[in-house]
Amino acid sequence: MGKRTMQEATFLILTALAAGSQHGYGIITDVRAISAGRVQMKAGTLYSALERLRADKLIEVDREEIVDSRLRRYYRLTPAGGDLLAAEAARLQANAHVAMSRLKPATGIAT
Amino acid sequence: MSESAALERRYRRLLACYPRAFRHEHEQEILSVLMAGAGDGQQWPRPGEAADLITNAIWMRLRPGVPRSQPTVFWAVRLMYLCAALQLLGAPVLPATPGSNAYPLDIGIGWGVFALLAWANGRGRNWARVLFVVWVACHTVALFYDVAHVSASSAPVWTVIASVVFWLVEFSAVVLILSKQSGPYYRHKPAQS
Repeated sequence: MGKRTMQEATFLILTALAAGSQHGYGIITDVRAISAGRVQMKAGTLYSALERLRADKLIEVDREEIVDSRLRRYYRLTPAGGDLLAAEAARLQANAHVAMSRLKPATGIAT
Repeated sequence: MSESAALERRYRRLLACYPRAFRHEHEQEILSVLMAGAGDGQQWPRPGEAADLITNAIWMRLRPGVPRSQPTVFWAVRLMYLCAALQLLGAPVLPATPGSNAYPLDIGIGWGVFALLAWANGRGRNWARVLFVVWVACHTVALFYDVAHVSASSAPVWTVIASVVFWLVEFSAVVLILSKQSGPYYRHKPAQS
């Protein structure tokens, strides 16, 4: 992933996995909750992203379960995935801090 | 047939668009995600859902598919696609250039070879690696010939300079795919299409 800006979908998936392992549907519902309903991730997009993140060794399979005769595969962050998410979160936080500090005196917007 | 069985059958048809290896690995879990998100009495995939599955399936079949954890092959494949793109860019210009010996058919074949070899190298096919090296070796011989005869030729100098730049791009791809780090990628065929 290098130093490129992380896509929002990637950021949200990694964030969903930051608290612990989750299966596909769990990630979709968590992403919706994290983004306050703004991002409605679909299955095709999710699994393309999961495949890419696995190839980049940012996530890995934690375990598999069969629930109601259906396969659930749980994914978790790798240490590299955790580091990348932390770096991206710090970058976004720093940018947001600068933006808010500049907006406050100019427009009187309270933070 | 129950509504959920009909819906599942329709989802399976959409998932058939994905590469076989991906389907083998993920079909069951994607199906469980799709079925978990289905509404009561739903018999057909939602249009947005179907479009999302088809779009991602097409992208998965066409994308270079090399993970960034394999940087040498990752960049080599991108350089190969760049060569294919440069061939296309040259298509309207080179055949019309006075003294140029480039023909539209040559350029078309060149584009096809670069695109095919980029695609196959991205999927870890060793034959594609060998073929690309041979292809660039042939270009190298042709380039030496062009440079040696540049004064006798009526082709503008810029076409020779463009050929050298093009050769540098393809030669860089050769160096990358022949590097030690690229070896394991070709020995362990990635799970793609």
